[in-house]
Amino acid sequence: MMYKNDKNSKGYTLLFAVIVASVTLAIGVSILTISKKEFILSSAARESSISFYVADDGFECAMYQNDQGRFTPTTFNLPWDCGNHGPITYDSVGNTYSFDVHFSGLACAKVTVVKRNSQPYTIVDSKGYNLAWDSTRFCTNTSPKMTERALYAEF
Amino acid sequence: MKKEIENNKGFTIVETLVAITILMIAIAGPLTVAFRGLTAAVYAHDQVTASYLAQDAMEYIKNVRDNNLKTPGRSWLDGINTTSLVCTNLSDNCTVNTLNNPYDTGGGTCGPDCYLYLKSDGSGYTPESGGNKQTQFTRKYYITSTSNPDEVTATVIVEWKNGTVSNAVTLSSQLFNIRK
Repeated sequence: MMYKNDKNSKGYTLLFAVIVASVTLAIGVSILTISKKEFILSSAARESSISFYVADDGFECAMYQNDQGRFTPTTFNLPWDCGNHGPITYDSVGNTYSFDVHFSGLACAKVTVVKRNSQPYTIVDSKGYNLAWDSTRFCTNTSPKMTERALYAEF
Repeated sequence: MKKEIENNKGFTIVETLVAITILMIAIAGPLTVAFRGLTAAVYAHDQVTASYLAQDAMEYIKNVRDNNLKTPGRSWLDGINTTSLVCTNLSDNCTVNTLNNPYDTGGGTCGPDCYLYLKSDGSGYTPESGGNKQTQFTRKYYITSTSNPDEVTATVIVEWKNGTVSNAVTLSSQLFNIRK
């Protein structure tokens, strides 16, 4: 009888080892999962500020060009630039002038300026993207990590 | 009966070594995973702080520029990048104290490291060391010109170290001379 009991309790060590290993593994994996999410979240804060500043750059570019009298049918299609790269594409339909502008890195902004004859006389809409620029896809990349921040003004 | 008892006497040295090895792998693996997780969490925490510190300096620089544009007779880059305060390279060691009033004080130079210090009353980060607690973050900015004389690029770099690994958050923005 004594011998039989001893034999039955032998597996307890294995069970205990497996439980301890599983618990530590579960704790480790859960910490890693939480940290990974924190990591993505903190990257989002950084990427979002990059998008915001490129939107602000596009906005300031539009304000500067507005002061230079750029947004008229005759002056808009003349060569001009904001940043060393100049606008990537520009297009005007009636009194709506739009252009894409890239300054550095992968960020770019899509800017639309509307000129009107009554209040508000000018509407500026600038959308900044962090990862949208590369040599083949000008400001149209749709990466899952892309963030957009926009600035809008009427005056 | 005697033989059975002898078999149950205990583990052999080989069995013990195998058991210890398996146990070590089973414990060390998850602990490594947990440690890496914690390291990533510390990095995430620092990166959020660094990106807001960079944004803080950029907003300050833009505010100095805006005040310059509003003030008749002032150069638009007064206090940011002038002949008396040249800030065109990272090695020029220019920084801003965002706790100061941007209208009166622009940027300034800092030591070779340009560490930020946490004010003893917890009211914010300052490049001034006196009585304040040094942090792991350094912050510098520099201005580069473009093909347009009315446009410059402002770059803010916040760097910090995790042990021996250097990390940085870089923020760039264009400044325009829009004076009506």
